Amino acid sequence: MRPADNINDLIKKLKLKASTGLDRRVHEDISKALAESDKTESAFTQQNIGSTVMKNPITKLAAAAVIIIAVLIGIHQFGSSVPAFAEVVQPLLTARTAVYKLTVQSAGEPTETSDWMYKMESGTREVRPGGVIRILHNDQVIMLWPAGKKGLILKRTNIQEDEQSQTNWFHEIRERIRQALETKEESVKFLGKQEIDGVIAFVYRIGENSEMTDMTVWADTETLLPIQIQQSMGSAGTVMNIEGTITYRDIIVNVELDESLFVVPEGYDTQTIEIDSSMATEEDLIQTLHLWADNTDGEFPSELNMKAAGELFQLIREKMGLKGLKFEEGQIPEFAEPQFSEFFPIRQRIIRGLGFISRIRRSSDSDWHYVGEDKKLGEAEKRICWYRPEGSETYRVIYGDLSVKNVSLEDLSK
Amino acid sequence: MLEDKLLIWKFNHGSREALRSIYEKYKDDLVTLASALLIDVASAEDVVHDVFVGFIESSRKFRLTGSLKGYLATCVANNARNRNKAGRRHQNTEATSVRPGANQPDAAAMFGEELRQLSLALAQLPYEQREVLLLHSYSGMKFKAIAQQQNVSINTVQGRYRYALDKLRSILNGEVQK
Repeated sequence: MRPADNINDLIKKLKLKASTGLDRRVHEDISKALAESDKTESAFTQQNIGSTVMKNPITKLAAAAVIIIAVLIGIHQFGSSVPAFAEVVQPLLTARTAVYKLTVQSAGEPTETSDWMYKMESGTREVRPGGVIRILHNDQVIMLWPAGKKGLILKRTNIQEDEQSQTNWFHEIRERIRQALETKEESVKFLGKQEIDGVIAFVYRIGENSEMTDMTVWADTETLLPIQIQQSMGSAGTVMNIEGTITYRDIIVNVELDESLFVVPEGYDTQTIEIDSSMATEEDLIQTLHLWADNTDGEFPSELNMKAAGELFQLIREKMGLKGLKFEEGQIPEFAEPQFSEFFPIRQRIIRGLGFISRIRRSSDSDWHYVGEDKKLGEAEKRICWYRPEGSETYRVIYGDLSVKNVSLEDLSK
Repeated sequence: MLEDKLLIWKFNHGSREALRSIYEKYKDDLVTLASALLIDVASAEDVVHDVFVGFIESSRKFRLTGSLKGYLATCVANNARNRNKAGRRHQNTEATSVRPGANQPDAAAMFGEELRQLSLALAQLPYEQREVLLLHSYSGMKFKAIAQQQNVSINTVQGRYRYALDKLRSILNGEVQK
């Protein structure tokens, strides 16, 4: 029999979860109430009520306290007729589910729009333009080809903690918004009103002067709900080396999304490939350089970034006889072909090396340099790249034969 | 705590979107409270739904003050009490308890095996004692606030709390068989 001395502790352990049925009922009732409300009455035009209440001196003090709280946690208020940014993004930050269209525009690449679903406990689901479905969980990526009832499961092993943002863009924009709300140094700027697809929207921009990517949020002036979010990808010169924008449109939050949307449907022929997702190391970078040179007649690339890697992947696919097969665009894969399962691990090994560069570059003292252009595998006396590990006084220099030496700054500059 | 102040502030400034945030933040706690009060998950969800429907309908008519969590717990407790009274009238059962197994065969198991004994024991408490115990120990309400909510003296509330704890101890230690 359980001792009864800790009854209060036991009571605090009681925990039930509200069912999705209750969620739906309550959210529908709230939506109904919102829809029925007078459209001309914006929540923030109730200034008359506010003025009346403010005549009470006690309320004035209370209001002052709230304003101080708001300032302390970075709530941004732009004037009497403009809603606070925190108000506008609140539905996004608390949404359990969301559906939206996502458009990626990057320099030199065709614009691509796909349909996305997000469910807090299940991950994200993307339906790509060619009909391929990509489901992102923290521990695996599922690609489905409905026309051929085929599925590829890229199972991630050795996952590091707190990696959710790497597989979940919706989570990432929420974190970015949270940062903007909670960081005093962040600026949230109200840009005025703008018409988008016939809807008048308030426009806010965050991170304009920060080192983080900037983001613009449009909110319907009537419902105050976010209707569009645009995030810049201004990462030229970094490992990603992509410049452009990601735009979220037609955002609807808290819609019912069945769990079956986030798993492989019954009757699919699937293939599983394991992908090592442990923290990338210098050895991964060396392996990447080796793989790269092996596929380019021994030459190291002129740049070491995702854009160059994309070209290398094309080359490898061509060598494997996979050229012209557009799996991500809808072409049904043939799992029996050995090249198919061989390509993805190679691709992942190359990405791991780039992941290592990305990791060390997060440190401002890393002093990363890549000088591999016009150099070939085996040239033992030629430097390919170097960096300074965190806290180290010497540099790690990788040479053309892929050997590594610790070199002082003085020797490095000779 | 800080977030509650902001939610109240937004709610009081006419943002019914704040209702969604309030619901998302407290729904699990409120369903748990109502389930422990009524020993019935389905009725508990109806209670929470009713509370929020009332909240939506009255959002223009009143302003929230004080503890949001306490306010919601009070609303749930009031609604659950009314439901309990109506159920008792309907079933013509004893006035002091809702017994597990009488109309919900798996009610005692609703919190899982680990807390099965506790839920069985809670179900054996008189409703008024169960309400005081849960509002104080689970929802963190002060005796004074519970006394106001139940319209009884603080001594009565403290007495109910003490009796509830004693009885639970007895049941859980096996000194009193049901």
